[in-house]
Amino acid sequence: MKLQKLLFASALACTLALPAFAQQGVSEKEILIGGFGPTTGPLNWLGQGGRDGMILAIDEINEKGGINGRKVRLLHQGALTPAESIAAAKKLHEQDKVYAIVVGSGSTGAEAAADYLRDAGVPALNTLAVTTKIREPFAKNIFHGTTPSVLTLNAAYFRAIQAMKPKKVALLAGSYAFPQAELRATQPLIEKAGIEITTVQTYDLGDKDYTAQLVAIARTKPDVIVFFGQYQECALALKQAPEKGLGRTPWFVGGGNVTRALPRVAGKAAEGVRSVWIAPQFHGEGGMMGEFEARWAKRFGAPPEGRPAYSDIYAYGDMYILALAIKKAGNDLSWPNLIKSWESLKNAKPSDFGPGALDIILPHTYGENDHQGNDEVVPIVVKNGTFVTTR
Amino acid sequence: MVEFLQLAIGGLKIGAIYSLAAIGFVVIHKATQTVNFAHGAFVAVGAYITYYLHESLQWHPAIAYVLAPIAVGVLAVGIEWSLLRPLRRADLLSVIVCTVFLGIAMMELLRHWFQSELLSVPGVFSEFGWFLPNDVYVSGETAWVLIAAIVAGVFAALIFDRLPIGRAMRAIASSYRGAQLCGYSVERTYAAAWFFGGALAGFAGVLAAAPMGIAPELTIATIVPAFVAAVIGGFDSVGGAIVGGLLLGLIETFAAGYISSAAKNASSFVIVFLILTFRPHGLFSGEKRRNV
Repeated sequence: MKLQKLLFASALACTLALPAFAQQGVSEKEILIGGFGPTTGPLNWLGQGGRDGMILAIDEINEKGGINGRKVRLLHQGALTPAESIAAAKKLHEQDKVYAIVVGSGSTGAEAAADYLRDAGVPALNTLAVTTKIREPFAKNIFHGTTPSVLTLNAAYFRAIQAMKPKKVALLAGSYAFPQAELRATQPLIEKAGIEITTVQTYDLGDKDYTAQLVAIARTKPDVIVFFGQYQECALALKQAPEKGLGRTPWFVGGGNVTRALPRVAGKAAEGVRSVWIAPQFHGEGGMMGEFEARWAKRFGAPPEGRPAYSDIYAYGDMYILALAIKKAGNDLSWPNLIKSWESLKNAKPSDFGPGALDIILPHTYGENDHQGNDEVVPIVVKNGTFVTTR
Repeated sequence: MVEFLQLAIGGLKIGAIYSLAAIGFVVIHKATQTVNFAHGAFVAVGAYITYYLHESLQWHPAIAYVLAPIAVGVLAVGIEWSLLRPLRRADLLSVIVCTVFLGIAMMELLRHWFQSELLSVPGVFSEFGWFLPNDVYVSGETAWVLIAAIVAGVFAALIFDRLPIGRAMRAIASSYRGAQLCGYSVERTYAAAWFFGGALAGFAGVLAAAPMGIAPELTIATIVPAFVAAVIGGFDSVGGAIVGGLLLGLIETFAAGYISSAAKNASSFVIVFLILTFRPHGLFSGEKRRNV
């Protein structure tokens, strides 16, 4: 018995004395963070934004001396398809042995990698995906950043639509997964509130002509048109609407459309379009966002059209939140302790890490059974050719 | 009736762009027997050049209507000369595979260079518009796209049918060796055909830029309808391509309007199936059938 106690005490002492770098992805001088997302193909802007936002935050963190003396290094994998997303997560965890993985893809990639991440147990941060499939079933090692769940987002959509006081609305949604998910979640809320849905029109991914759908909508004379899908489609539909007699009907659009490109492409037809946004400020509103855009341009050069995108913003802010959790974990960087530290963050924002970090995301709060960092959205409207936040 | 007219106007507008893309496709095929699946990428390049001239260089929009077709024409000649020349006498499958992947490569290069999913230029004459009876509205942009596409199409048909260069193209297409023996220069005629086809694609790109937006996916969004329009019209008929494009635009729009949006794309494939089954040489082809 005495020997047993001695052995246990020795083992405990060894464990406590073990350096933090015994944990996968941690060395004496470095913490290796993995990330994946689409960097080629039609969603390259999303994945590149996720990657570049993280790079910008990591550069700043390293300039300030890193996290508790350790520099952060990012290993990013391009992954467009579901198969590539699973392969990227597997490679980062099993081959590259990263400390944590940042999921910087949309819902498709996140859904594909979700089960693997749950089983692997590696701490993961979902920055961009709204899907519930990476949130449910709940996993102790998976955290979510700025992007709320699709359910939260749709409840916010409904509140915003209700605020427009319509009696009749027409719905126009893409036939593919993302807008259909938005449609399925929002439509029952609208119906339950007693607002008449005059028509539900669909279009296909990448459609360029919306004549048929807009003519069908015009026939039903709705008070508001609700659009779900991506801005590439929404901008063209908006642009074509006045010609079909819908020039004066107000539009509410899903969050995927809140980009600088939408009012620019749709022109005057976009004036008054309403939606929700998941950051305190929109691009070009000055303040911290202006400073972020200046730092982005300094680091990556003159931005291409549409960048920095919302994915740059969320990834920058969320990377700071991850850094805060690591910082708070102290010298014990075991995964259980990181998770404990992460769950203890309340109203966390980038500037909590140290001066110079920009609070361009809404504050994050976590709990033992609540890994959704942000649940808040901000109303936004197109005014004078750009979206502006209205809170 | 109002709804029918609105759908018809929208269908004709999109059909006019399909027509123009299909004419270039047909011209290249008719003269060189090459089914150029990279043609959609030529249309997209035309649209991007329009954006570059108008938005980056801030030049007058009219300049794009001249420079973009010329630039795309030159690009098409360069591609044929450098990449496709070794395949001139290759089997059809090799050429198809080559042009399909060439189109994809060009699409991804555009995505890489411009790093943006959607660009735009202001519509031409969009501040003008007319109300037809029953409050049916036709915007200046719609009228312009329709008129410009039809005029360009007729102009192309005249060049192909009436001018010496058109005769040379037809001669080469009819008999490669025979045309050479008659003194036609294969190199010059191939270059002319690719320039002409490329320029028409470039012009389609300029017209498509405002209403369809400028995105790498314009490549796919135009090549499929251009192919279908060419099948409807008959692969060797420039006039047929014009009518084929307009018909396709109308059929797609009516299918989406009166059936469902899913029927829009399905209608294209049903048309291709029906035409290839019952009239494989198209509705307007001059090809003669002989029963032996």
